[in-house]
Amino acid sequence: MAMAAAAPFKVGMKEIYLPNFTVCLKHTPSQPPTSASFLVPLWFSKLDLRDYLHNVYSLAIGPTIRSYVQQSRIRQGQVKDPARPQYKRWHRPRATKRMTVELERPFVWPAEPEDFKPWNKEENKMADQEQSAMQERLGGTKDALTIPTERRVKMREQAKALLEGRERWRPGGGRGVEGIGMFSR
Amino acid sequence: MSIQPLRSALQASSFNNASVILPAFLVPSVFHVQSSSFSTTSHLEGRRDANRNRGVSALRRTGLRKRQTLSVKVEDLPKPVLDPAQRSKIEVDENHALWQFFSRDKQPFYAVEQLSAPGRPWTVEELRRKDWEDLHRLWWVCVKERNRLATEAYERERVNAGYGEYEYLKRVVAIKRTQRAIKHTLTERWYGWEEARKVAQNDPEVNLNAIADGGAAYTPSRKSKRNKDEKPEAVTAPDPALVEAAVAEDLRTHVPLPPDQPSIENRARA
Repeated sequence: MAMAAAAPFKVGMKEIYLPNFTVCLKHTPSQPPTSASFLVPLWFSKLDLRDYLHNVYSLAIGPTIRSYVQQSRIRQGQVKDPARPQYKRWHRPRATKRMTVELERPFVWPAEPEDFKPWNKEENKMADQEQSAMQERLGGTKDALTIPTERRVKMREQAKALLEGRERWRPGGGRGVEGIGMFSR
Repeated sequence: MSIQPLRSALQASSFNNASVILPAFLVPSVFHVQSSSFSTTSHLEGRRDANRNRGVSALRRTGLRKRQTLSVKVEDLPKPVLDPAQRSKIEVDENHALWQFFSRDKQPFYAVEQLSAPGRPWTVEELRRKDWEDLHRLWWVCVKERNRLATEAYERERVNAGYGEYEYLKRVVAIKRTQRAIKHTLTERWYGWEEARKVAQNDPEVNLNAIADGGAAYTPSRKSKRNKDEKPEAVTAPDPALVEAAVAEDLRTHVPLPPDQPSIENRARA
């Protein structure tokens, strides 16, 4: 690999061999093309990123680097086996660190492909929507009680009927011997 | 003003020709007449505020004061172009360093066929034949490929493209196996060197301090196997020209020394 040119910044004495981490370039269409954002390891510093970009990619950057740590939201365990869903395994996944650098020369991301057919976007989207609708019907995986929208609409109608006196309230939900409820006639 | 009423009281009393008995602490007030007002603030100056920007904040979006003017008019300010189609096109350098985060065809993410293309990890057998420079180079090739894959995986997730996650994970596993094999090879070499060093410490034929002493590194004893015609020769530091030829030969055929050992040429020069 060709040696990088002399660094325009002060270089330390420590030499690092065979590092094992990933730096990911983010696509930020809302930011100007003279800036680039990266996802870096949580222990990374701005000096580390500057050194990394210079030595590995020979990328000339401006003097300022901005960084922030994004906290993850609390979530339940990953559902690896649908037969044994991991409810109640509440945890907060590791935070992610993002850094933004200023570029000497602008860079614009290549355009998205017009047709997402090779990646099957349409079918996956429909499948996802169906799955989320089904989960809502079943009551969802969240700890809090969530009532699906259809049921809420029906409950509102039943409440209205009760208040207007069209129906009469019976204890036990009115379930009879054969499971006939209060509102089925 | 407390003195005024008192004076008027005194005057009134003197006008009426009535004698007023003053308490002792008020006697000096008769002799010291007030020349100026007690307060130093003038009424006319205190009304206007010298700070024209009092209460005006950009952070808190207060807006301007009444009749306050700025050097620039609002109509003259540049307007942002909100429609991306109407913005001027930016020429991206073909050799920009950030293209290294993309695949060769400069697409935002790989096609699924490209990701699942055949390519197996390096085996330890194959890597044993490589020297430190090559292994180091290969490691960085792996790191850059993983960065590339991570970039396109993030973009694919952001855009919700669909398939590709499974193939991406398979490819990452293959690269990680190569990296593991590299470290395995280097570890093997180090252990070989360490064992040899321990044996050499107790070996009378080997002098581990040859560089410092300036003596011979290896002096084979008379009892070691050799032809009767040959005479044993002490091996001294060889010529640099010969050393370079030997190093080139080594790199081509044999497994060279581990990376933290001084190479043959450095040992000769030292």
